[in-house]
Amino acid sequence: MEEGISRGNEQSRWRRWGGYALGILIESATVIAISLAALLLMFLIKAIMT
Amino acid sequence: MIFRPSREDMKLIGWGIGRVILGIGIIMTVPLVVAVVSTEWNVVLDFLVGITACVTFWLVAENTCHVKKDLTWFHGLIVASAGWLFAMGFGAIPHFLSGHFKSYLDACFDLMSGYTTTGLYLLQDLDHVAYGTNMWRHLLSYAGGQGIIVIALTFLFAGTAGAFKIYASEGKEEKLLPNVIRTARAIWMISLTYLVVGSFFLWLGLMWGGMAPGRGFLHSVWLFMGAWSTGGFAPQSLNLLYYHSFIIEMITLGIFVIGSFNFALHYSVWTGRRTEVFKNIEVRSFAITSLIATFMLSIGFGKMGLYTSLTEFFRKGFYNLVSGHTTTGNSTVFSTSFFGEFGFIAMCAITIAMAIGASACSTGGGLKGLRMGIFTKSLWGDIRRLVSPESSVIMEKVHHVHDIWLDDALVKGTMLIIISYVVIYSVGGLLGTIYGYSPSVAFFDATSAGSNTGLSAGLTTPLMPALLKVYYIFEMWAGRLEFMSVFALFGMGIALVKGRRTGTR
Repeated sequence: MEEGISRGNEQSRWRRWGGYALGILIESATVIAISLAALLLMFLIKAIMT
Repeated sequence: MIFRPSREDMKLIGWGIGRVILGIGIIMTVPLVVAVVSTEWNVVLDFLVGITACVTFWLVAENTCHVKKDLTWFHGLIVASAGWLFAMGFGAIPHFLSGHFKSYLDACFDLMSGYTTTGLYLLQDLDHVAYGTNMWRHLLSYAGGQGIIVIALTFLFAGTAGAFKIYASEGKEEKLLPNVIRTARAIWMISLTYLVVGSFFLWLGLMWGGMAPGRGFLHSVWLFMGAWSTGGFAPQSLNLLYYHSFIIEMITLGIFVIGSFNFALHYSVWTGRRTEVFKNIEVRSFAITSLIATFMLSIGFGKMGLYTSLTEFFRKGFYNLVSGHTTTGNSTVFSTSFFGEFGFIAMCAITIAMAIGASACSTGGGLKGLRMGIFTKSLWGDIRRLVSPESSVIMEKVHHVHDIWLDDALVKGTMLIIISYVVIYSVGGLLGTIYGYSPSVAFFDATSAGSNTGLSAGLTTPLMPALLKVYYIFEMWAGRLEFMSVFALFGMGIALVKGRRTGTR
């Protein structure tokens, strides 16, 4: 039984850290999306002004 | 009528400040270890003096001020506001002893700039600073980003029922978890996880650029601390320009934008509420204001004929703009370029972005995205009310972790803080102009100090007038604490002089 509890704790720890890693990926993707939108805007204005 | 604080109130405040100063002393052990490992014995002595001063103050406060009573809101506000001032005074000891400062005032300026994650500095000859001192600069910025009260709460206030009062008094009102001590620990867990991940990628990037692994490791940790805390400190005087690396610029950009997000948002996204990042008012507000400022910046650059390639445009323009918007202050241009090359429109774009700033309950400063969201939504609500039938009931809400309905009290509180920020930016700008600086430079640097950004157009140097240094210290402190604790401290000063004697609170 103790072994079962220990395995359960281990799984929940992996699940928790997996969630954290996914969170980091989502936040990074948000930054990339905002940067790409800004880059596109810069390109459009540059194209219009030249 | 105003009541004078009792002797017991003063003792309780002294006890709380003593704990905060002990926290500062404990943090000083990290640069002490770095100095020992680097065999910088003069620096070791500087930190030993600093630690001794902190521990002595704590011992005196603990033995003379301990009372069996819990902290009230009043005590919490005063411990937070005065605690930061005391922390500045004690933290400046090793800095001043390092010999890199013209005066103790300059050392205090850098300390307040570090704690408040501003990034302006008066330290001289930065390129030859010892490893221990450099570690102290970056560490206090990293620690200040989480909040020095959060540090004290994490380790030194366990079991105190009034802990939430000092936590909220530091400008952080959100509880990630029901218990405030666990909230403080969750904030640390997020920051430390990012420290490991972010420093690792920076280290790889620096080694890819040819830096030796040992030096690269220290630079990666310092760059991470400067960027994540939105402090903007870097180990070299050229800041990010020193590295000439697109990879390092992109990694730091990612770190400071993520660092400028609300800790409650991080916690939600990390613990399963993944879509929060798309719905959150602060992320939306940041995206919209970034794009508006990018639009202004692009027009400004177009008019000046600056940065013809799109990559340069992005690295020199967008990078500095977002660094300003997130109130970081990392820079890829010389400070004189803002005034000398960018032109008025681009400079205005960055100044406005700095004034708006980052998210509430984050490491950043400025008006904050949440307040911009509340202000915009309430304005929209007023417009809708004007064009709707008189009998209609119109309520507006913003989404931040959960839906928040806008009522008059919330809007009034938000406007009070916004006005306070505008006042400190304006007074700083006017003061600089009176001293003979160009208005655009004066307002740029004053906004940078008040919003805790750290970009400078060249005004902030050791040669600037002492009164401006003191005012900038005030701006950094008041801006970081979001005014309420500062108002309370001034109120206590008045109460001590003019207040009516009464019992304890």
